[in-house]
Amino acid sequence: MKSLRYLILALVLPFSAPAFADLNAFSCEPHWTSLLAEVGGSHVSVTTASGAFNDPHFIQARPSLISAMRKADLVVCNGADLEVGWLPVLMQQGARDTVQPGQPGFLDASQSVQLLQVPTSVDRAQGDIHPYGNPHFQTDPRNIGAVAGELAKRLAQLDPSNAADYQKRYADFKGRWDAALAKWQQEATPLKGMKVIAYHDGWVYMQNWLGIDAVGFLEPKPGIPPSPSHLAELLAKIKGEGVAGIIYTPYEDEQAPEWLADRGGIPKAVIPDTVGADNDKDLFQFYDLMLAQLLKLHGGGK
Amino acid sequence: MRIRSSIAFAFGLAACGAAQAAPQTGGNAFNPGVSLVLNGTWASYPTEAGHRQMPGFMLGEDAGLPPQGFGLGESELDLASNFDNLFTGFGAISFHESHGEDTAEVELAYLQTIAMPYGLQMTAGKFFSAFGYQNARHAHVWDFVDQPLVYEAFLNTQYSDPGVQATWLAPTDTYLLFGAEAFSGDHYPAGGAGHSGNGASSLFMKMSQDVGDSSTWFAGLSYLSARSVNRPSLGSQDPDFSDASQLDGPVFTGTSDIAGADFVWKWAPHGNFYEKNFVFQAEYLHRSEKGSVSANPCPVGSACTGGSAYSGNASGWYVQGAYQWMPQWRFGLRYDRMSSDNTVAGLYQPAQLLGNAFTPHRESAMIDFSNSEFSRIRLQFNRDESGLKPANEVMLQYIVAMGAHPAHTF
Repeated sequence: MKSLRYLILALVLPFSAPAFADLNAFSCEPHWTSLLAEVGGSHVSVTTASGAFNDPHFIQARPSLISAMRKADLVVCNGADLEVGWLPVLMQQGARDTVQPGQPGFLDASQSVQLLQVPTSVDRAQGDIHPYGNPHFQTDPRNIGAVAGELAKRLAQLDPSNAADYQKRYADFKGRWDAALAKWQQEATPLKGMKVIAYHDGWVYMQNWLGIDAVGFLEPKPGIPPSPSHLAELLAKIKGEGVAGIIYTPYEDEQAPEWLADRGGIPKAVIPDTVGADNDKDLFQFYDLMLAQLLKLHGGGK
Repeated sequence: MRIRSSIAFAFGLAACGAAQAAPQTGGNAFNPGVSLVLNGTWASYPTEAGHRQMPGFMLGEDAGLPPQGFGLGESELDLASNFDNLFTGFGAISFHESHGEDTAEVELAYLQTIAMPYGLQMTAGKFFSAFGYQNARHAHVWDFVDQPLVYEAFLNTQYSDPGVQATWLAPTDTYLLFGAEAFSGDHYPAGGAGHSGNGASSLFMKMSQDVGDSSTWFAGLSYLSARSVNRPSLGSQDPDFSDASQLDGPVFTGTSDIAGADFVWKWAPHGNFYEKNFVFQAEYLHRSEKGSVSANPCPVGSACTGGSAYSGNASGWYVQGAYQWMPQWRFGLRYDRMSSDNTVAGLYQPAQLLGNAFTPHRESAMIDFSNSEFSRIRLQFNRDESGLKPANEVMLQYIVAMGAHPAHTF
């Protein structure tokens, strides 16, 4: 009887939840949720499809996300095929005409940045590679800044009555972001030239930003889990090349990094690739955390 | 013929779109997403088990096991693309090899709206009915090599027919979908496209919610009503192939009403499916059939001589779980059970319908390894007591996909 009451409550509550926001946004990854909060403020209510503990390649096309898509006025995603395994299903079943690719309601963030590692030829024997280039570009905060301008434009276009406010919020964010970038650049000086081994080849933008050198990956091919023989090769590399440490995300299995760090006698560090892995509440705190973890690694893990 | 022309129409449209657009790319940029899924099996079981007989049930021709030894299972060539800003579409040609005979058929060919207001969506063409949970799932995403027994017996493994579907997605945070379908009724559990080619229809509702950031439940209620005019069924053992049955069983004319309830629970710590996940799935189906059975097809529209009046109630359920305990590796268990209560009044008393005291059941266990998202190898064991003679069945299967990245529904 009690459980029936809960069931009824669970069914009715969502109906009665009033919508205060002017726009409903669907964010594929938490960094866009945070950016939407910066630029959109209370005008925008956001549903986020993934979290810091999810591999963004493998999100289940949960029906709740279809319901969110149905109501969305704006969809913001990394794009470049990062979400190709699940977003098309949500798009099709949510069947919202105004957020289909090509519409103003669909913001493909990869269109606003310069993608790296665009392959000249693609073959799945190379692993699960992305034909448009590496889609993990949020690991360089300069790319967030590049998308912010486009986001402000879209918000103003979709919700003209608040256009002035979006512009104001964007200008305010831009000022704080540029200051933070300068601060991070300074803090990260010791990281230049640091050699690391990463779990997945998903850090090229961070490497590019900070001058870090990824000399190997735990995955023998993108999307293929580490194998013992490949780990043995990496171990030899650690001995030979002066690798500072091993980095992996909160959603990657820590067994292989742990094994390799132990055997190689080097530290390892969890580097989140989006907002929310720890106490970081927004984009600023996320990059603070990323840098703190990398600096710790550089200092020998202490 | 109708099916073939609709797919030709669909592909023709897609080709038109490609030809008009972006001449500087040579037209390739607008090619539909193409993927080829190959599904092969190796199976070992006593021949009686392959000659599928489930006392109490008239089975459709697809019920049964993959062939003994090596077999090319349900493999398919998929094409998917948006036609324009209003329609998206999907075509699947499936092919399989059975006892030296290659067959290719249009498995799916449909177009679907992506831009209707108020959460409405229409689908037209040949498609899997949204009845139940397992019915609309493609063979390459099944958690076991074979379908649950109740799907074999009630839906000939998977029900699809040319038809239309309309759904409405409620504007709520809780996923709430209502839908209705109308089909020609050419395929089992319908037959003969009765009622002037409007032989089957369905109603369904589905709902789902997330629980925390690790779990999602999904539940559905469905109803399918099918008319049959001279629907054939499996009968005696095929003399040419010891492990197969001929389609010479009782012929049914009448109506089948099937109601189903399904429940699915998916769990992954923090929603991180790649590392670890568990999927629980259960369905209960009830069918009532009323009409007549005869040894041979009856002339349409006239009284059938030599037939018997038949009414039957049957139900079946299964419960299964698949656990991925580390990346790439999963194991699963499944239990199937059926029961029937048939009344046949007349001189013709087909053996297939004399099974009121018999409860077909089966236990299955599987383990599979996925090297990547695009390849999977599976080993499955069934203790199959769906027939009079219990059988042990061992199956090995590979499923590989090439081409466009697969995107899967929940």
